[in-house]
Amino acid sequence: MSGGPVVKAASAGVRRRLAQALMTFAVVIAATAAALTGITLLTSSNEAAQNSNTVHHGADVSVTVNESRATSAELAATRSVPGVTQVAGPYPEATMTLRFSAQPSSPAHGRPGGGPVGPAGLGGRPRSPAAPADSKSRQGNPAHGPRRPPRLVTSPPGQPGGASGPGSGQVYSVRTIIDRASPGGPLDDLYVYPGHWPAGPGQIVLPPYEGAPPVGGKVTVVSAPGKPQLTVVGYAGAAGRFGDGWVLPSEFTALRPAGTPARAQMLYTFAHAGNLRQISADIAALKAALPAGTVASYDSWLDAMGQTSAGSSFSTPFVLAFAMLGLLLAVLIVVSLVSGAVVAGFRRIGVLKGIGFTPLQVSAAYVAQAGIPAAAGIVAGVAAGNLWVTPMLSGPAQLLGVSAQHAPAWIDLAVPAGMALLVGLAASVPALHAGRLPAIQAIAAGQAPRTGHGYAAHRLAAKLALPRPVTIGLAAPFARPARTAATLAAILFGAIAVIMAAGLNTSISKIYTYYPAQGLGQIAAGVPKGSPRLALTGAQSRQIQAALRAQPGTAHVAADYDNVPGSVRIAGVTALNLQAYGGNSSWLGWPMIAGTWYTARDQVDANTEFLNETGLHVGDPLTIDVGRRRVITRIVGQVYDPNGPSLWTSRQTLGTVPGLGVTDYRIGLEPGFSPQRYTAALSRRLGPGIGVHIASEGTGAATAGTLALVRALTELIVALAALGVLSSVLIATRERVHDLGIFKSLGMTPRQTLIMVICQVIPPAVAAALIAVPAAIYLHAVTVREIGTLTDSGMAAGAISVYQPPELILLALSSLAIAAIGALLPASWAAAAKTTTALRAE
Amino acid sequence: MSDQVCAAAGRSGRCPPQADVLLSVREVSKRYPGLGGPALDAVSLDIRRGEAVAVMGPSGSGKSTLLNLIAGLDRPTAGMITVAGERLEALSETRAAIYRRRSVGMIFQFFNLLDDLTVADNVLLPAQLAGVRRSQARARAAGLLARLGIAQYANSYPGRLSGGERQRVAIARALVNSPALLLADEPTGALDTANGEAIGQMLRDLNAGGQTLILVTHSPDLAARDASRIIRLTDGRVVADPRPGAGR
Repeated sequence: MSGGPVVKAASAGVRRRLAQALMTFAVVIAATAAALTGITLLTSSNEAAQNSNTVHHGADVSVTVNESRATSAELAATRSVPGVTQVAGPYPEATMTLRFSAQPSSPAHGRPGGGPVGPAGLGGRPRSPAAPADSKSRQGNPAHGPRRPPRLVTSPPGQPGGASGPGSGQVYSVRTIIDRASPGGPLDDLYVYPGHWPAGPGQIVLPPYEGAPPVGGKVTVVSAPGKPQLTVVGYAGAAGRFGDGWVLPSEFTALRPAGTPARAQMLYTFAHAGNLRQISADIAALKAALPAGTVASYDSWLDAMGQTSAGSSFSTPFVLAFAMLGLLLAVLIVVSLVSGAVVAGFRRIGVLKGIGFTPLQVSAAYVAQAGIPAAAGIVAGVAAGNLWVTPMLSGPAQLLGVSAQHAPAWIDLAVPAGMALLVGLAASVPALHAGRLPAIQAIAAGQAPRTGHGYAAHRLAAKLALPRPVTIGLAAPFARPARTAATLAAILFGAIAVIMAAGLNTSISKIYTYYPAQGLGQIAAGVPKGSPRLALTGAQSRQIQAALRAQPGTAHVAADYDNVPGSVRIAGVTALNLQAYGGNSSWLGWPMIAGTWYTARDQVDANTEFLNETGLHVGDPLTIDVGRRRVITRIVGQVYDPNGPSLWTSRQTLGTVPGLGVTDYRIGLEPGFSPQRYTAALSRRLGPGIGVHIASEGTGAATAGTLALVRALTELIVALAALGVLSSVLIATRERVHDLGIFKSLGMTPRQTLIMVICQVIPPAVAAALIAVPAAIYLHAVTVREIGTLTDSGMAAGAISVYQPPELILLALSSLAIAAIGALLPASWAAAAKTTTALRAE
Repeated sequence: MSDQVCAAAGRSGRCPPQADVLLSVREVSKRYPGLGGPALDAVSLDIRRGEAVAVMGPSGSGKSTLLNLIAGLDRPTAGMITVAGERLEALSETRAAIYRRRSVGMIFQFFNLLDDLTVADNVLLPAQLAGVRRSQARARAAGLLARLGIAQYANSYPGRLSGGERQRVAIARALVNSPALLLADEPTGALDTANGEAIGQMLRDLNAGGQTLILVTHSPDLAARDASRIIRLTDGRVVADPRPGAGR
């Protein structure tokens, strides 16, 4: 087959139908970028974590040891424990309370990104999806004690140490600070960026996390003698990666609070540490080699991966949903546009055959005519997709301390290959069909088709008491049912995206509001921040109670016993968060997934992780060991809380427990009372010995990042949908350009023409709205429930049922908006088209 | 009334109409970019109310271009066209469309009917676009269909009619708004002899009733039968006009 005439025919065809070629180019760019973005987001969650392990040459496990239980020689001898391949440490560590100014909503400063972070990004540790879900793997792990994330609490302006100005506050953060002379070590390298490792006194390095003070910022170690101030000189490592901060040995000595137990960090790599079971066995071997009580707790690389796995688990369901919508839309509009473009050229195909082109040459020419702009669009789309997706990958990347991630190379190859195949098929099928037609039939097929459809619609529409351009436009889609169905599908996907995004906006905001582990009371009055005490004294409790009775605006009060001692246990559950309240606590508003909040003695509520770990359900009995006593309770409700296995019950249920005391009082306000004013007034009443603060969410950055991702994905889908409508209406308008000339010759004004074309998309838009609303509600519910499943936390009903009828009506109008936006350009073209040119077209 | 008075009214103004002159074309030229010579070159002519004028000439002489300019479908590159005192070259697209609705009825060689609409809906369309009251428009359309002998096809679709019947539908559509000007571009070009003669007779009857008619045709017989005046164009110029335009 001679290629010369084919290439000439194809390139001439592209020049002749330049507008169509540009449309193909634009659609394929958008579709390719959308496909690349969707697939990359779906597959990226593990890339960053694996890259992080490679970059940081990290340890498998970090073990906190009690130095009073083992000598240095005994610790060094663990190098010989079977399975241990490398050891580093001991690096002395201590828990300290840092205070710094609340930061604006952005992740670690100086590092690129701002991508989405799930609740785990704040330091919480939902179960890593990489870990087996069976409870047995945890039973051999008594040292894996409960480890709360660094607590972030904001005090309002005017409080001791509070900054002035509206919205600014001080953050108190309890962190494990490690004494380490250099970032490099025999086992791991802490990658420091930006900034540098401490070079002298008064300097500290922190890991990147939401709300961290910037490099150059100041933190006050309020738990240290003299409350010294340190300068943050750099970020190191990655969030959750075996340390909450590092200082030089000389600094550490000065900071360590008096009377704190001597603890240290030991880092290990093992021959086998690929899953939780193996790691548990490794720890068991270590413990066996050390004196009893030496191993206080440990963290593994699985927990670090869990930080981002949980974050990506949180976002994976809606990324998947939007990616599917985007891919389907991309396929739909590419097929519709490319095959429509080939069909529009049928008449020319007949002419080519008439002058001697063989059927194969004709088919090849028309595949090439569609392929030239499509190939350019694919190349540009890969570039555009990479530009689009790289910022979205930066959130997990910066948390793990690796450079910005990109779409993997295999996706950069697979997506264009897939898109080329799609375009090729979409063009080949009609082109091969036309190639086989006799010339005269191809010419006849290329004329504006009179399918016989739509006549009844026009008759009916003519009877409507509406302007004639409107009724003609409304009836037009019925003449081409297949194309109208494609237009409907494009609008439908766009509308589903908009409606689902609105629901996700509400759900995610609610989920992040549910998140804080401090409980959900508005105000908390209790132990001042920085105090080594964990509970209020009896006198302080009485003082607070009296003040609350006297303080106007106090509506509800619950005593919070957040320091339940280790003597309170559940058999078989080692990492347990047990929360007890005194007084009525039902007003706190813990989000319920099932059952009810406890209302009587011997009732408890549990979160999903607890129920999964124990195999219990709502309604089952539960035995709590309180010292030597056994308390039989009943699980009456399932609570949404992604903070590890957790229980809630009344103080009365636990009975007398040595060491149990009130940590703070949770206060609910009367309607209309300002939390800031109430807090300030109560602070003045109570004086400096009692800390009063608003139980802050501290979730602004995480919420903003996740919602920004939802918004970006929605905008992509809506743009793609509008492009689909545009291409469909453009093809339809060009097909009927002769009719357009007739209308104009009879006196249809440009404005009437614009209205007529836009009205063509109303029937499919209305149909799309009717389908989109229930479809989006369903998809939203599935997505949000899946978030709960993947984060192992379940999902509260309040985060699932978020749509209100008036809102839904408004959201349904998005289909009309998408349709109108997509139809505007072809309508404008039709309105501006020269009548004489249109009349000459056939 | 002189052209100077008309010119003084400005491009957007209305000219005082000359007695019984409905259409005035003054030094109109039309050039298309990229094509060699002008499609029309300084054409001037007047057409009085009630006249039947045939415009003849070889292919490419500018006949259809002249008709398109008179219909307001296109604009001259130079010169002035006035219909019932309204200057066409100054009209916006919207005003030109409104002018076509009110003042012009067009009949095309290949009918240009809308196949999705019934015969009645085709005829009604100009009236609906002009905002004529529904009942009034329907009555007028029914009357025209009856007068042209095709009332029985009101609910049929154009695709099922013969060429002659389709052209009658097109004539009815062109007349529904009682236009001042009826423009016919090769109205019998796609018809057989019998139908062509029947259509020709219809046009004569309309003209006899006072309808001003401008007819573009290749057929000398049709021109001789249907027109009282024949203007010949060659290469965009008027080469023969029994009554040249005023001002020459």
